Amino acid sequence: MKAKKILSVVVVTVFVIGTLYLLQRLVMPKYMDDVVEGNFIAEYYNEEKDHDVIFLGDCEVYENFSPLVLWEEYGINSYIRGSAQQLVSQSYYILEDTLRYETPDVVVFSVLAVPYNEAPRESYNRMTLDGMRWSLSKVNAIRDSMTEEESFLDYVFPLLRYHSRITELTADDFTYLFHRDLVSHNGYYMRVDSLPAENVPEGRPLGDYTIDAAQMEYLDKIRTLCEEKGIQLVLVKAPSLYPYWYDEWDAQITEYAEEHDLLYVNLLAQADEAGLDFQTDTYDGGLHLNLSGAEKLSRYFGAILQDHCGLESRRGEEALEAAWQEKTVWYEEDKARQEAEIAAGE
Amino acid sequence: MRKKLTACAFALTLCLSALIAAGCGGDSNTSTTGAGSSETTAAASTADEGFYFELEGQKLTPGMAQDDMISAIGETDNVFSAPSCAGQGTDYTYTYGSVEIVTVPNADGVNEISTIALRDDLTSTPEGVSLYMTTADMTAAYGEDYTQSGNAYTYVKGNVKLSFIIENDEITSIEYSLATA
Repeated sequence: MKAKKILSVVVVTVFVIGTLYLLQRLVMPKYMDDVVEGNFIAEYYNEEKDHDVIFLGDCEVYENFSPLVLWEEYGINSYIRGSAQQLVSQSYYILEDTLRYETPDVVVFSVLAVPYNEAPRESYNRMTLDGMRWSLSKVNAIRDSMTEEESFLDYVFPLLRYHSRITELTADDFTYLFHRDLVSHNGYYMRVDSLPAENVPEGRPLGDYTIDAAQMEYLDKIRTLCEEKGIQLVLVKAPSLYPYWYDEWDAQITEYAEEHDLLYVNLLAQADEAGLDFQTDTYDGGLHLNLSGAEKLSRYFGAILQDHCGLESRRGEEALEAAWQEKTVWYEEDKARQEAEIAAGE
Repeated sequence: MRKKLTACAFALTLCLSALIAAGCGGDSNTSTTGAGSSETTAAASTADEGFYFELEGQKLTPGMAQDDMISAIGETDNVFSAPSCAGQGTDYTYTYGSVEIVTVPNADGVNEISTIALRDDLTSTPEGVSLYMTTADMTAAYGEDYTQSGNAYTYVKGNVKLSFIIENDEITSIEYSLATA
């Protein structure tokens, strides 16, 4: 009789927890419809983790570099661990997280977020942090980037945050209850459409161009961690025309790179050399590159990576060739689908 | 006994689900991407409370809705749109001759004026200060009650900040923004 009672209590407990778990999965945003960027961080965990190069940063990495081109042209096996408005502190913790699985030869870090120092926003925090697997790195990333209105418990039990979505569920919430479709190409967000850059505003004068010390501290933590693991750190400024990149900031990053013997590549200054044309190679008026631009930039940057970092081509490695063949099919399918959508809209 | 427990489990689950779904304290932010909770500002009233800029005889102030701004001063051909990453709205930069106005989405997704900046000395503030004037001109118009950070001198009135950047005793930037930003 007593055993029966215990069993019943266990069954009831499992039932309640199971129901709440399902409810939580149901109400969490799926990011499959339009804001697919919310899935980028989590997609990494499904990868075979044997990358030569890991990119870290915000949209300046995930919209401007094509890992497929790096593979095809240089035999570089790379992955972009980028997310929307990724803060420098988050980049550091995502690096820590990445190193739990693999140690790449090179880490490429986009420096835009260092001087910009955007205030954390919950929507962006969620897109970056919800996708991370639980670890001390995730805990610290949440603690360091939460806004005042957010609570740590909401990250542990997202049901507490998203419960009110129960009234606005869509078919996607049921379709993607237990899985997601692939949305990126090794972290790259493909866009094939085009919108020429026009009326791009100049940067307005600032009262103080000094990069915030706390931001530089995180950059230094990234550098130190790379150094400890024998990883070459490469700093990069993507060739985005907006937000404005001030010469004064560039000088500080250049000085930091020189001081620590790091390679810093300002691709904005080298846009012409890379063959970029902001009338055809951007999909949003100069903020991000489209596929044509990203492929040009990747060809240009791949040569720099190969020359300066001594990366040898891994073309011919059977398992990698097979994996990339599969990725190429999905890349071409995505490209063809987008081109067809554009053609249908014309 | 089993029936009782099953009923109890259902009741408990339903209660918990209802409690959570109902809001656990009334959080009404239902955005799938979590829009945050920054302060929404009333547009029209701020012109009377804080600093304002005048263009085409119309008072403009940070916090004013973009639609109200366009209704007041009309459209311009010189517009730059900057979509935020991951569909979090679009920032717009409108250039009206000597004036650059940036609008950004507020917490409700409605674009409102974030900054008004003077681009050259063909226009001036309602108090008569324009670019390339001196520190003395600024203090003569606005007094000494400013805060200084680097080259930036900032006055606050109501919920509007008026910032001057001065280099070598020459005003190189004049910008209105929300004091709460």
